[in-house]
Amino acid sequence: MAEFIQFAFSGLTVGAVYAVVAVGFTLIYNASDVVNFAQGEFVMLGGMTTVFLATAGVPLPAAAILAILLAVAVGVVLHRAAIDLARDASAVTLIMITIGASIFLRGAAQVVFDKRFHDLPPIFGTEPLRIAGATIQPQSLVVIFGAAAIVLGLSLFIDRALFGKAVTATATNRLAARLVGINTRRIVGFSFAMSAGIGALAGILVTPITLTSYDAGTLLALKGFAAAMLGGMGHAPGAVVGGLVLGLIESFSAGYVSSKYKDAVAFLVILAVLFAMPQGLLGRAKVERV
Amino acid sequence: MTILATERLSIAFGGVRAVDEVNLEIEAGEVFSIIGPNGAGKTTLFNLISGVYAPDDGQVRLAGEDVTGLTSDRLARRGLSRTFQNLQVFFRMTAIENVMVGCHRHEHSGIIAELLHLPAIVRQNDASARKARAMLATVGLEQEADRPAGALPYGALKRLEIARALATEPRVLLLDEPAAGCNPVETRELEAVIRSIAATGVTVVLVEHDMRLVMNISDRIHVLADGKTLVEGTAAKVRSNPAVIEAYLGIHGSQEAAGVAG
Amino acid sequence: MAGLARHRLAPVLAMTVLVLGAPLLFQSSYHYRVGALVLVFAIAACGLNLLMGFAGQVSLGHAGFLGIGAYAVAIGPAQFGLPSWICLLGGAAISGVVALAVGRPILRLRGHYLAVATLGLGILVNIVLSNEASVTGGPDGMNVARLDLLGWRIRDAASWYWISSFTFLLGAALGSNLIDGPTGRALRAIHDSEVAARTLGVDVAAKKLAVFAISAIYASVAGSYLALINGHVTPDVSNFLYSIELVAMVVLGGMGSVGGPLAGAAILVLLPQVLTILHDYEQMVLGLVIMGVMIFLRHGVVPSIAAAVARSRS
Repeated sequence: MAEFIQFAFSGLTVGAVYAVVAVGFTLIYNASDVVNFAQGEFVMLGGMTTVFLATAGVPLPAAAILAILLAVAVGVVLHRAAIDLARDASAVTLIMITIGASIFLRGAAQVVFDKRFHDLPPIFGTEPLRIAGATIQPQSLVVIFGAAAIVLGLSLFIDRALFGKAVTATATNRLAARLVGINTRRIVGFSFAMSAGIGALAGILVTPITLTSYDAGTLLALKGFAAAMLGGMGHAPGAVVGGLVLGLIESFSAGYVSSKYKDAVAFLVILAVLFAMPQGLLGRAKVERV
Repeated sequence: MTILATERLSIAFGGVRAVDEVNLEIEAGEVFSIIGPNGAGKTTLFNLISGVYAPDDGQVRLAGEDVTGLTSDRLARRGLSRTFQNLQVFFRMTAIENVMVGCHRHEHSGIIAELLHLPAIVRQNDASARKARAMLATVGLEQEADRPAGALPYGALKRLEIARALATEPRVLLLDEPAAGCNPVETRELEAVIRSIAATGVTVVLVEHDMRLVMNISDRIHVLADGKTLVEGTAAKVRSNPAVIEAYLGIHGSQEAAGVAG
Repeated sequence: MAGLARHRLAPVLAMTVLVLGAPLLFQSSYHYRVGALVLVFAIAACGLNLLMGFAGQVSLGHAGFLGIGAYAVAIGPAQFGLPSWICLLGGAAISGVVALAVGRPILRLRGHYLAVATLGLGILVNIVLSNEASVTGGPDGMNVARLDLLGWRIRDAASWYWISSFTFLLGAALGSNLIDGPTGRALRAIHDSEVAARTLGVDVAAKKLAVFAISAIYASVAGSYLALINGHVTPDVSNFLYSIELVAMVVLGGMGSVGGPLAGAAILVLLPQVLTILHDYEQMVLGLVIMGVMIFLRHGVVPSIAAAVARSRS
């Protein structure tokens, strides 16, 4: 039982990060139909920048905030200098641009930082908590609650703030949104900035547990993308569910089956779900209108 | 002989019965029109018959065979083809290539023969191209054969879809609002095309809003409103039916019309 | 002459001239080796172009088939003592069968869902190859016996250049033939409107499956060649980065153009070679080049050049 709870917590922890990455994907996809493969790099930038700033003497909280701001700036530049320039291009072209951006950012991280693994000190220390017989790192809870706060904050903003409503309008029908005066370009730029920011924050929170390195973003992007699909493309609650489910499957298969094959089990489950439910767990079946 | 029949055909979308227990009996060789106000379920009915949607209830019979729920490609191979209200043209292909896809049903070749481009494939390509040109000629598009479909105007695209559907050599041809967006001249040309198609023995089923076209060309007319059958009969019978007038114009409108007429 | 230019094999002819002429610029066996690698990847990209450029289906896991082909010529001779060329054919057959088996459910998915499913497929192959160390040698890989054709042991770069050239041109010609026939028209129709294609009698599922299997076989052959050229293979040949690189080759070169795969392969194989002088900055420049090409030549290199030529003529 204790083992089960342990696996559940580590699954929820890594799942929370997947969920935030998946939400980032969804945010950008909804606003612009672009699947942003550089999403994982935002997470990486959060952790790596914080580490290096802290090493350079900047106090940790300030380093974290600066790291988030840097990621946001990168997101904005990515949108302005690349995506927006090619905004009439086909979906494949736009995705290819984000892939190029991902390669570029990974290369830049390699040069600016280094190729080693790095970690950050956990916020509440390393003394493990005992919950129902299981040993839980306090940082796990930080990640889980942090991700929950991020997602909740974002959804409150989308629902309540006027700007948030503009985001929803753009996501629903871009042309109609433009016709009522919404500056959709700014909305898309905002979605990039926001995705970058939440990704970076998640990266900072999870680095104490998973460590970080210049290429940590790649696999994260893949899994976040898979999680977003699992939950149903373009559906933010689905992204969260998809992320958590993916994390839990990974953790349980690592614990009960084999850690070598944990990724295999995860993807097999995703394939099985997609075969049975082609629109994802929470997605709505699209009826093609002819 | 009844070539196409539906029995209590129904489908609902999220609680709305888009098509509600519709019964049709279409005779071979006739021109049969389905009319009704917007939202009556005409295109949905077409989608049910042509295998784009699977019905919740009821049956579709083609030449006596139960074809309910069969996918569009199997229906096409049984001689049922259609055009689309919202144009499903292959925009990146030329006009003649579009129609040649319609010849696909009669092209038989193995993948090896295709990879090696054997003489049999060359002969088949030529035969299909000739047939496609003939189809384009019947709708007056033979000059545009090598133009990319994306460059053609709307009216031409509607006719292209007809040529393409004809290339499958159907027994039953479903035309979904072929006159939509056409000016009076184009509509008259369309009428001639439909007559010539019917003259070859193909059964034509039409969904249309253009009443003059429908009245001129139809052997029988079936009126749908709110997914249900209102009335069926010849043009004269349907035109003067008060329920039909009411469905189109609403109660006040039909009273006004009665006031104007009387 | 204009008639020849429009012949369906004209692009292949042009590439033949290019491929035959290139060695005039080669000054060492290293150049032949790089040329061979460009052509090997062009084979895989050619197959993927049939799937993505013409049929409009995406695959983010095609390196999985590279891996199957590569390990077939590694394991076959080592474990079963079979000649390499038989293992190459065997690998192609296995890839075809795998594609047919998983293709049916996977190709029912559309767009991003299809992308994730193929991604998962590639990752699964990669994981199996990495973990079954007793058979595959694990993450460090295994050695590959050189190709032995009727007593002629092929290990020099020039031979591989000519073998890859011939195979690529053959593959491109077969592909062009396919596009020009009924299946090619059906695939292009599916790309533009699956619904309409179906109402014309096209068995959409069967056609997608066929092109998926063909593209898998192309990738498998390419993977086998890679292993035989290098004399060594690791599971990395089937990893996600290679899958993305294959997609990039198709997209950068120009989806749906016959010359695209060769152009894309040339860019993505030659560029890192050129960029090694930049050492650590290689990835950054690579990323910038990909972004630049996509922003400014958004239909790909070959179609953009073709359009520019057409504009200057009119």
